[in-house]
Amino acid sequence: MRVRSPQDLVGGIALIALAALAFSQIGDLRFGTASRMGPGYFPTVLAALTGLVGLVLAVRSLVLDGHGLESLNLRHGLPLLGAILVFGLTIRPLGLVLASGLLFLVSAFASPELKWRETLVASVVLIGLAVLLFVVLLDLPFPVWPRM
Amino acid sequence: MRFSTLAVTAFALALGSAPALAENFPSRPVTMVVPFSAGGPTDTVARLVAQSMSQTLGQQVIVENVGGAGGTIGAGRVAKADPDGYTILLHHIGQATSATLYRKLAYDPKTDFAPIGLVTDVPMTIVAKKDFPAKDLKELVAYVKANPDKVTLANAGVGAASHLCGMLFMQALQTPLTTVPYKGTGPAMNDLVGGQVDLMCDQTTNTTGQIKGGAVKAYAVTTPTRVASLPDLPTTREAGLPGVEVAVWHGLYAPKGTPDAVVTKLNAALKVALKDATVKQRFAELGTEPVAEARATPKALGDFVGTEIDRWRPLIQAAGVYAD
Amino acid sequence: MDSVFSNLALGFSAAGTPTNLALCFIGALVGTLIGVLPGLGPIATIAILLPITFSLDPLGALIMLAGIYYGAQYGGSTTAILVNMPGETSSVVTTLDGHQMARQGRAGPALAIAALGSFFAGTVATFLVALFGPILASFAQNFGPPEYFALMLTGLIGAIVLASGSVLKAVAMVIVGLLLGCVGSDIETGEQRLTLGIAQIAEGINFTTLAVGLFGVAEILRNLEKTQDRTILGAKITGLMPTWADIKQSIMPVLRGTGIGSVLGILPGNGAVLAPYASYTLEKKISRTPQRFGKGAIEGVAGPESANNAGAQTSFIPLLTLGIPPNAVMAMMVGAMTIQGIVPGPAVMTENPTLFWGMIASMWIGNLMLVIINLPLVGVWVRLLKVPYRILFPAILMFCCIGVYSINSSGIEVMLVALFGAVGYFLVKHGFEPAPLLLAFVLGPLMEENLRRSFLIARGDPMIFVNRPLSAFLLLVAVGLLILVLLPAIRKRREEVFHEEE
Repeated sequence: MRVRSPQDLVGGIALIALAALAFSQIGDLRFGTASRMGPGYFPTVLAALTGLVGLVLAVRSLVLDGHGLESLNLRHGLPLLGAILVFGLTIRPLGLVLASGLLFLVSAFASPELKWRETLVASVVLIGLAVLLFVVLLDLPFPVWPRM
Repeated sequence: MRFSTLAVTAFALALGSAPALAENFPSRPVTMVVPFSAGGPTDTVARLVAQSMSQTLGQQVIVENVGGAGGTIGAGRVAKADPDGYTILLHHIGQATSATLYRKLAYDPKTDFAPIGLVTDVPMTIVAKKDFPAKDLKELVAYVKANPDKVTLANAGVGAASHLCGMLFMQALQTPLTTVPYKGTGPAMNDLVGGQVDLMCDQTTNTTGQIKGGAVKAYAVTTPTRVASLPDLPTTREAGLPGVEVAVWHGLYAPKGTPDAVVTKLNAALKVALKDATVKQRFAELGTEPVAEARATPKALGDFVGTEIDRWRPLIQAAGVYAD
Repeated sequence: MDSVFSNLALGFSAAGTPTNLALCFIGALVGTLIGVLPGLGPIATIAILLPITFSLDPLGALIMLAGIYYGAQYGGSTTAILVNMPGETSSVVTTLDGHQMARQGRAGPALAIAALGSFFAGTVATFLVALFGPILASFAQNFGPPEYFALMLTGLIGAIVLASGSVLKAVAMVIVGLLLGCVGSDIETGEQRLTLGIAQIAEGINFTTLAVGLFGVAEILRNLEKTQDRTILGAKITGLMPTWADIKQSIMPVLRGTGIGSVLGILPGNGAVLAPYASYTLEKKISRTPQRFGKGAIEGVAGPESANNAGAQTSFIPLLTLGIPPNAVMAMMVGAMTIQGIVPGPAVMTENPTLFWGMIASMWIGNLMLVIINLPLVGVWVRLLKVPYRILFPAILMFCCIGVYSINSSGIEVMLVALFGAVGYFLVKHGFEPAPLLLAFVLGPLMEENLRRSFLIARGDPMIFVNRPLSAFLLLVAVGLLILVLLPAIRKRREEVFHEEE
């Protein structure tokens, strides 16, 4: 059997996986009846529909011609997502300035053309701007520096 | 978090003793955590109190909104914060009900906090859609008992003040009603005004405007005394339903282990805030007033949290609803 | 009629004081600035700025916040057009044709039409609010749970009609959006659903977090892949003003958009969200050249932008006359009023007419200011695009992170952005469109709530949906739309229309 639309096949499998994840979470939520729905009613029906649509999509990909897979861009993707994760992890212990600095550092690896000097200048200016806007002007309760 | 705990410990050791810290308190801004999003009734109370406390303490008291999971995320953060008085919590009645509503709570509302004092009691009102047949609370009770299958009771979600008051109301009448839950008071009031549901019990903060505007019918206020903004409305006790007494009380807490001297300073600032003319006036506009000075104390709040946890536990357990 | 004018006069004199004019201007400017920053929509903006209004008098505070609201929406449309990033659900539609126009070097006309259309819609809607506010509010009051449910259903089926590409994939996105909307605590029992044990999503996934991830981060990733596109886009922009032909093409869509937006905005339950979608669907349906839509049709910017702004204005009606916030932004306004010691409700109009009418007047003033701020500044926004992307993208990323962090002061919330960013990128790479997902995510919980509530109120009797004329009518519309999508002939034509934008 030949896969005619790899894009749809992967999409369909992802939907089925999502449905499986949802089912694993529904656990003992009461289903109820159509006229007296329990907390599990909507999630169950929707998870089933997600799986069904995924299945149709996957099966269809074997019959109908469609798009090929595009390569995922990990070269840019990993540093970019990494930068967000680092910011989320460090904002509370380290404060706005250092967390943003780390964000710039990590995301620099996602840059199409890396220029360290430019990145440094830009990050200093932008962090200064962010502190001015959010902390000085808007008076938001952000930790600016590590505490103590 | 661990970094800062270490830092505080090191700092305290360097200074030799904790009281030295307390004497200089506060030497930097204090963060008042509100475990709900900005703009809600609790947030309003917090901001009014924080503004006055800033003046008294000579350091800014910054309100930080840490919403989510019925207030337990913000409360949990304060419970685990450094016990130095720089992170405090303003929470309402949910502090006591969460002990039962959340079976997997990561902190103990009773023992993980150093209470500072009670702040205010917001009264609640029993209201109905404007063409509801009953004229007064007596008729209402009779009507509900006679037609339990017809009457619907709205609330603003599990654990909300309106939910608690509703449970109390049904218990007092010994009559289970169809409860219609909403997400928040706004949509619930919308459907009450639109006549889609029959009854609700909610805070004066939300109902006063609708009552005065004639959009809903009011039957009683749930506090021992009448409220100034609705002088014609009888109390539940006067109207013959003494069991339904509930107010949305607000308390101020520091993490457990906060030095007594710091708690005393914070409490003194709270007491000043509760006498502040602006605070009083704004509270009055919200249909509430500061608590009496005797109740704005650490002991009063500590005892009250215990009493309230015990009061609501059987009710919540009987209803069988949990938020976790 | 006379009283309307005397009321408006009272309003204009209250809103026209130098202080209030200044506050209106600051609000509009700050709103535009922050709205332009991708990932920060009006909800996040107002949430961030709410604390500042504490020190102002009530009318001034509300005028400034309202200014921020429109300003952020204008700014949000600007980012939608220039960077393909909607600030809020309402500007999702603008990305479809607005960004295509920008890619063709017509960013200027797109921005100008968006601003002028919005101003026109704002003017009309302001008078509508003044004229019909009280009357229309009592009509919207007839909406009960069954009507809401029917309305949401219509909206979702509309989203499928509107999605480009495969119908099956659009259906999948709507279902996944509904499923994500289920995450959080159950409304009736409070039980946790699908939360994977993460406390931050115990009350549901945050809209801003999801939107910033799905649209903002995924878009940065896509841009990094093909940086050359951006340089072309920056170089081609020439005329900023629309041509006469552009204006002629836009007049009717603006009028229709204003009408649709005004009506939908009044509905409590965030009808305004549907306005741009409804307008876009309509414009595409009646267009003689529907194949131009999605490829830079100016009608696809003019109509939805007008509808959006009209809806934004009239959504003040439920708030001002009933004290009921129809959407998240209005909930913030309730917060602002409460902070100021005003209980929003029917009493405001009678007890505090200066505030009520002053705010309405300030809406018009604010819209005028926005045109004045925006049209000359379009050049500044365009110049923003000439900044090399290697500098721009970390800046966008930082503001996204700070914005999301500020919602609940939660680092985990920020980390969720990375997750949704990865999901958004996966979707785009596999031919799924995230817009219907986002709409379904917003409408899903409301739909479930109202469906369950309808059954509760009717005690399990499904006839409640057909016995009520409004609900029955809306359900008929939904069924009609469904048939429209499923009819083989129409489906074929539809797929031709959308085939293939990229």
